[in-house]
Amino acid sequence: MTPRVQKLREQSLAAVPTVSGERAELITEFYKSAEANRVSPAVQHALAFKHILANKTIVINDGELIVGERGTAPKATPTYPEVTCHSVQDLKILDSRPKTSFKSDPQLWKIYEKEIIPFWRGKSIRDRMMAELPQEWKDAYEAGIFTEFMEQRAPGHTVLDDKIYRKGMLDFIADIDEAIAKLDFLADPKALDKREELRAMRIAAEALILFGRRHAEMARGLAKAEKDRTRKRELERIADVCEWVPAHAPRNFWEALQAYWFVHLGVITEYNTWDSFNPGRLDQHLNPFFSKGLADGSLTEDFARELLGCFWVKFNNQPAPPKVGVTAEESGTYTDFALINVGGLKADGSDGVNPLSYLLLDVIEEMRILQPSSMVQISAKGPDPFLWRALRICKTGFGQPSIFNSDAIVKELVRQGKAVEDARDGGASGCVEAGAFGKENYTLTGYFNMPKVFEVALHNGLDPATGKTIGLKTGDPRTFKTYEELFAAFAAQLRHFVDIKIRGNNIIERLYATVLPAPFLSILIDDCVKKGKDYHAGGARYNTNYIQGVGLGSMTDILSSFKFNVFDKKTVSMKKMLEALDTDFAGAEDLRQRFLNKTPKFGNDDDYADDIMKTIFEAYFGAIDNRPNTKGGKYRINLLPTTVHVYFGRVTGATADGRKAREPLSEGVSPVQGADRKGPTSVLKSAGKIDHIRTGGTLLNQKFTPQLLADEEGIRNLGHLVRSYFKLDGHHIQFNVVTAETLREAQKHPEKHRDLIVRVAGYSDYFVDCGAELQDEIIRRTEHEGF
Amino acid sequence: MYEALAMAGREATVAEVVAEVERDRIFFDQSGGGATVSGGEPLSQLRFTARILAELKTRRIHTALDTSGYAPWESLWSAAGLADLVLFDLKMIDPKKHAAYTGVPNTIILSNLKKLAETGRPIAVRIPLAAGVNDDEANIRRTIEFLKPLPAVRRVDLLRYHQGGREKYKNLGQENEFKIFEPPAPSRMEEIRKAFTGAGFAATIGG
Repeated sequence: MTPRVQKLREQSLAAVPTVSGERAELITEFYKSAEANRVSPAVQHALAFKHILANKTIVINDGELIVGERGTAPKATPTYPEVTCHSVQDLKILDSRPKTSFKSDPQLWKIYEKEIIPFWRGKSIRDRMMAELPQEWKDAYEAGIFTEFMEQRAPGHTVLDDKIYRKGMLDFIADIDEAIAKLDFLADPKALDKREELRAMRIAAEALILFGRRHAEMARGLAKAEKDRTRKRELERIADVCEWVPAHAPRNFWEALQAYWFVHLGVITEYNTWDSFNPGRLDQHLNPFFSKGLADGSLTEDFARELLGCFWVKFNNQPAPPKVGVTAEESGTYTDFALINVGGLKADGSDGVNPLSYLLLDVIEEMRILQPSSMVQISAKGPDPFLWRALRICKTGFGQPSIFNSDAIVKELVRQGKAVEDARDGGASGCVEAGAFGKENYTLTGYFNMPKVFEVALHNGLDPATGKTIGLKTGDPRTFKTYEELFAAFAAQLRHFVDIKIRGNNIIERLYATVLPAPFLSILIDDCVKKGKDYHAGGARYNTNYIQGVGLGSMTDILSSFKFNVFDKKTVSMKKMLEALDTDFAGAEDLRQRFLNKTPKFGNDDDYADDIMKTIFEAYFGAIDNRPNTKGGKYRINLLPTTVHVYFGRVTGATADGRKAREPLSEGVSPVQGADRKGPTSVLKSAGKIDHIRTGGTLLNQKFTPQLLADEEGIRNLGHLVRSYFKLDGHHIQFNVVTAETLREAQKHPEKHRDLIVRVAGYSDYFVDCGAELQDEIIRRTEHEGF
Repeated sequence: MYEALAMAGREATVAEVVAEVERDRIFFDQSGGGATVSGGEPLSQLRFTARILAELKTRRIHTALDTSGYAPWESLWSAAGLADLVLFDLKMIDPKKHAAYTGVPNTIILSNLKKLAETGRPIAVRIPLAAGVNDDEANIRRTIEFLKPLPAVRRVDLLRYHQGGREKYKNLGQENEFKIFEPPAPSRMEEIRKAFTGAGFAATIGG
């Protein structure tokens, strides 16, 4: 690492996240203007975007080569009152809460009180949503049956392809003008709507050019004043770069990185999109610039490495926008889920690993920061040394990169109806979500708490936590004669709540489409320009909605316990079982121990439990897959938790797998913490029985002690384990390599372990930033001692 | 309350053992691994061992037999003849010392190793090394001299002594029976490895 990158990295790590009021003030100012009230919503929002980029503070930090901040300083994080308008109370909570806090001062609170809140109250999407959503939705949401992703953050969940490396904003403007010229006002009754959308996109493209030029001006000014001759030259070079991109297509490695960074800032300034935004297949996109630069002598490998280091720091300077309430619970992290994809396949199906892939892995290892997160795509065609290189980084124990199966991703996307070339150009983003990069809007709509749904089924539609009836009357389980009756009750409730969720989504998505279009993002995702349609309204080539299932492992063990103990062995009556659960196993510790230790469980390659898992998968898949969404696309499932398994556990009573009330649920497709007793191969065999290809992503956590991977043989064995799981169509696997002892020590003395990064779910986080419950749960996750 | 007193090991039929091995087939196929029948001494349950090896052979799963070689030749061959690889323990060459440490002379072991090598069956000789017991120059030299003429023996695994068995003895309430030795220094292990590689063996430390 060069001294420059080292310094920038340290500054980024030390920067304290704050709330920046600048964006909120600018957007409010614009929306109050006369101009805002004369135009269509699309043009209105494009003009607002332009107003922000034309007036926001331009930041060029000392020593950096890649420039641009979303806020007024590193980690100064804007708010998005048009999406969710924080109350002063929210800001105070953000300021003072112990984890993932955002500092703000009374001056900002005053501005919020006087300017921001009075204007946006009742107008923000969140307020409109809450006014429109039916009571049944609110009841289920409050009970913790599901969460709602679009409540505080705008739909994003998309990743860029290679288009910005081929085209500048001026080229996009030419495309937009061509699309406008082609509009047929005679034959196309939607022609006017399309023209408005396209005009909005044009304004947004101009806004980004303006934003780039403002950086060029500032760099020129700084260069003039700079005494240090080296830095002066650098600033002049930065000015040249920013004058060229994003207006034009980049011509070299430096410009390519800066072009992406402007686009990234554009997307995350337009809205607080979920999963920020992501360059995706960085080694594929940058390799032409890299090899050309090396060949003509204009670039050295060392300088490429330094530029990448500067680029990495920029991601780390942008924490996920502040979240409160349930949204903070489901994703309690500063990480904003930009997931750099390395490796994988080319569009023609050949191996995509190139020299830059290895260089990126060096950078990942060297930078060792939260953001951007990183992953490798491993295809059957991919070289073993590439896999081993990635695993050697995993061994250093900061949870990156995570390992994905390219071949499974392609099969998943093709099953969903995508062209195979688009699928191969895709990858995974966020935690583990498969997508066709640059061509798809794949919106995650919320997590779905399977064990809670089952709890409602056990109580004949009633939520025992509140005594409210929120589900169907599926019958008193004490009258059930067979396991099949019990399962049917669960499946019926599942369908019921999925229906409620989809009815809600249909309202929320149309609110975004009509009230808050996303003209800038629309430029970047095919085929919004071609269709003259906004990203939120179905402009993308592919439009997928996900409902993310949580607690597959827990749910399997719960049903296994009912089947085994109540129906097959008949060692416990249904009455006694329900009593034990309702009283949180008070006076029934023997029963709980039997459930914990003498009942078949998922994760042990035991077909008794694993067959039950398959039936749960089918019920969940059947309730969701292929149902239409508002954007002309379909619903699909995936199985991942972020941090919601902790929150979902907290709202769910004791369960028949021996779990006490309020404890976390299983995460991803991993077994219940500690339920896997037969080692990692059995976990992989059980997880391999999930039909990953019919999902859009699954998440499997494995934890190893460093000793196991001490030598190259350990790395190769781990490589075999990964390849074996991928032969079973496994979608993703990630490794936590750290001892439980170290974690306990860090819990006691957080001050000494600030840098301890662990894999949480689809992302890594600082261990000391995780809540106490989450810390305990990470420690409990099975620590495998041997293969 | 449950699992406080655990039974170590369990009774299983040949079919159960084979089914257990089959579960991991995907991993063997990937890594080139397979099943190892080990012990204790698997030849002390000869019929069971031979049937497992035969069954796995029909399923094309690679097998290894891990044995001390202390058994009548016919017994050894009836199992070793079915395995794809024999992991053959060789503690020391001197018969008296061997008898002193293990309780039995090594005449039959050495003759079995010779005979087995003559059949051409792949063999990996495994030498557990303890300081002052068998890591001396004389034993290493004599071991090399003994192994060199054997055509099928090319692979030698040098296993550094460890106290892994201590816990087992403890669980059996026989901790006093457990004899503690010292492992050779890593530098000594490396010297021994070089002696073997110098004599043309593929020698590794660890198995």
